[in-house]
Amino acid sequence: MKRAALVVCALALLVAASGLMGRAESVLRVRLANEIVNLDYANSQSVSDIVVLYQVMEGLVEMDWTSSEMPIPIRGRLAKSYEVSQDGTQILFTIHEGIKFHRGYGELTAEDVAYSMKRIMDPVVKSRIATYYAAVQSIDVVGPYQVKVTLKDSSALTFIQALTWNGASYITSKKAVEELGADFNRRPIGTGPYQFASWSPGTGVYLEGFADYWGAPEWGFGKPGYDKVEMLLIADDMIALDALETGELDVVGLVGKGSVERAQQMKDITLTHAASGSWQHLTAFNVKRPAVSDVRVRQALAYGANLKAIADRLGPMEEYWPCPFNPFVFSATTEFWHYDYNPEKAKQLLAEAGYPNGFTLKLIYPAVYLWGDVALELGHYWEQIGIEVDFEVIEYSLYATVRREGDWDASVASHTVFSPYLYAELYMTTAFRNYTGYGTLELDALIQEAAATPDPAQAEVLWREFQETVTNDLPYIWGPVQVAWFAISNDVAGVIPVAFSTLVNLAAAHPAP
Amino acid sequence: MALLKYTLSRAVRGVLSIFVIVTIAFFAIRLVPGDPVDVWLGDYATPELVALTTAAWGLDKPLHVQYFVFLRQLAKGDLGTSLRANASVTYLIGEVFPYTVRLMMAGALISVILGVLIGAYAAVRHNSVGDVASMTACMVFLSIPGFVLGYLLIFLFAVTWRIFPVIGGEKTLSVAALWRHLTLPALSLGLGYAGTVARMTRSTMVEVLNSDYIRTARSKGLRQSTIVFRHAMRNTLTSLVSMIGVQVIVMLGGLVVTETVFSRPGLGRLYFTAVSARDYPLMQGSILVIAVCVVVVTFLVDLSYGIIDPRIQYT
Repeated sequence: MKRAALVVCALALLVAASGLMGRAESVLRVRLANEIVNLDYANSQSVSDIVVLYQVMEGLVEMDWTSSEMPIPIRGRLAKSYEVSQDGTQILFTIHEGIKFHRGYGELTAEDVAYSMKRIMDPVVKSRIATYYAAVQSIDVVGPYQVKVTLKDSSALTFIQALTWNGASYITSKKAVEELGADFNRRPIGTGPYQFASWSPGTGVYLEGFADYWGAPEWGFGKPGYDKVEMLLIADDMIALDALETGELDVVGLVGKGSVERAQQMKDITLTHAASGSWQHLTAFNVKRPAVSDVRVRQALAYGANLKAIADRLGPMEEYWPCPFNPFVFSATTEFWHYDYNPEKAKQLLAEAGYPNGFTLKLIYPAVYLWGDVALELGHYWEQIGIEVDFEVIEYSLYATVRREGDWDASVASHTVFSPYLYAELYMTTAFRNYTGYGTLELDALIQEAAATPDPAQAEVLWREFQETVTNDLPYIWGPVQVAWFAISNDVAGVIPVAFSTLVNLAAAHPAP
Repeated sequence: MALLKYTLSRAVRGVLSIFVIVTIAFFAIRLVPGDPVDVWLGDYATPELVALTTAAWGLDKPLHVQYFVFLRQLAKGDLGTSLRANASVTYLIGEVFPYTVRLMMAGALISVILGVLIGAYAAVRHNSVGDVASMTACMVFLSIPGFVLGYLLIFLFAVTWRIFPVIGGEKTLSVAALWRHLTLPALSLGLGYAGTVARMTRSTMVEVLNSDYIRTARSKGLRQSTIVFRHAMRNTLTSLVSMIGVQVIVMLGGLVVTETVFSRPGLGRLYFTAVSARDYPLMQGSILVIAVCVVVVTFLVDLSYGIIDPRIQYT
């Protein structure tokens, strides 16, 4: 009898202990390719800032990365709806009710929406994306869950497109910003599925599942699939893949040359990629310089480089895309590109321009990402048509300055935005970021007209006209685009690849059944 | 008393050295091409944003004013705020410094223990096959670049045999986990230097083993291990310790590679990031910490001479 009682007691204790211990914590380990710089949504800088904030913050609107449509559709996330006035000068955002901020900062209200947007425009914040809000005249709270944005012109469509990227419509808690002060850039507060726990410099960022996450029912995210997300800083692609192989990582975004090929050889992982790439290589011509100021020379350089072969040689990560906009951007098309590889035509154009024996072209690039590879490939082709290419590697930190100073004929860089206007800005005579010196008042007028056209069909016609004009004038050679690839452990499901570098959406990620 | 006087005098000289180093560093880093505001803003560097950011970072003030602000902050123990991370430099360095100390100490320990053992063995077996083989191995470790050795260790011990983790950075309080994460980076850092220590130990010890007092010890029938480790080693230690001191300082330079390969936080990577961003306060802070490390190591080496060799007097 006594023995039976002891056994019952022991079993009861065991059950109680297992209840106290609870289930094991589920942890998702994701690779960060570079160090965190600034986690204030208004001033995020590195790719890793974007990756972290993507899980912590939510925007009013967002691109639907689960869609296979091109250009990619825009949908509301925190915004239940957004109504654009007939004349395109006003947008009324209505947000979902009952959404909670992390760390007990209360419910999301229209006050927070207006505050977060105005904060980007505040000169004290020195936001790099303040220019996205250049057309905004006022932001007003018109109800507990409604905010009205009034624009200086009828550019509502353009403004909404700009809001989808770079945290331009991320919403934070006004109370949190005021309470955290200078610490806000290291303790982001949002409404996303994971809340920020800590940042350990040089090691990574640690997130926790947000139990009160509203689940974004329209998107079908539900509650966070993991108790914790550890985002670990691993600069080298091959080391990150080693860590995936040994089970130290679960999700690895790939950025380096050769990494996709290596991942293709690995077992027990899923290799996936976004529909295309948004990280677009741009080779700019400085049209203030004697030779490349002649459009025939620029056309010769386009005919003289086999862009398809270059994209193929750079591996599965690069995709041929000779268009002023990346493939996801509204109205993007490659149909105006008519410079298929033709070295004879290139030489003929050079002779017509007065350079039958070629000329010396100074090509600058920093040795980062695949920019150097693109520069060397282009230079190799140009040498074949009689151009003497003077390659010059510039330290990345100095690159923007050197390009502004203008002592170069061609320069390689990359660019990602998801609005035609933010791309077109590069071609405007008034734009600070117009390194090429190219531009006409007529083109400026066309860009402004396209940006301020509220009707999508009419706007598309104008943006196509813009693409045709610049493809004929060639201040840049566009492409290839870098496709975002991800190696994911088979123990993980629901990771949504986003078409930019190592960016993933983990809102629906969960342990594989 | 002489030791106290010597310590005080070295401390004063150390502080002066550090002051000179940080002053030179303050002006030298501003001579490096590139402006932190331009680096920060990149393509977004509109004149308005440039002016706002320059003023917010205090870079619009004359250089001598910036220097006095820096000194005033330093006197209060404040290293300023990182321009890039907008976080306190003291906090950023404080977060990574323990990792650096652990890696340096483990790397130095490996290089000294392995180097001394191999060097002593080669000296005792002078001109034998064992001597040639061990010195060849040392040359191999000396010649392999740090990143190659790092990748090789990862491939063998982490990926193939799964003994140690690939990721060398750990955020854990468990001592066992600390060691697991530290072993490969420390081996990668220490093995190359072990080659130098071994070669140095061997050449010094070969000379000592041929001296009269060792011959006397041998004739008295002492065991080989007693002769080597009690009598010969003591006389090689002085030159060995000065070389180890120099090596620890040189090791600081190898940190960036080891920390990058093993994805490990540390002062080397922090400094590299600071230089890339032209983050003046973080660069100054890192240089200051490295300078303090160098001064402390040099002082400890000098201090150890008296312990190793009682004939050395502190003056």
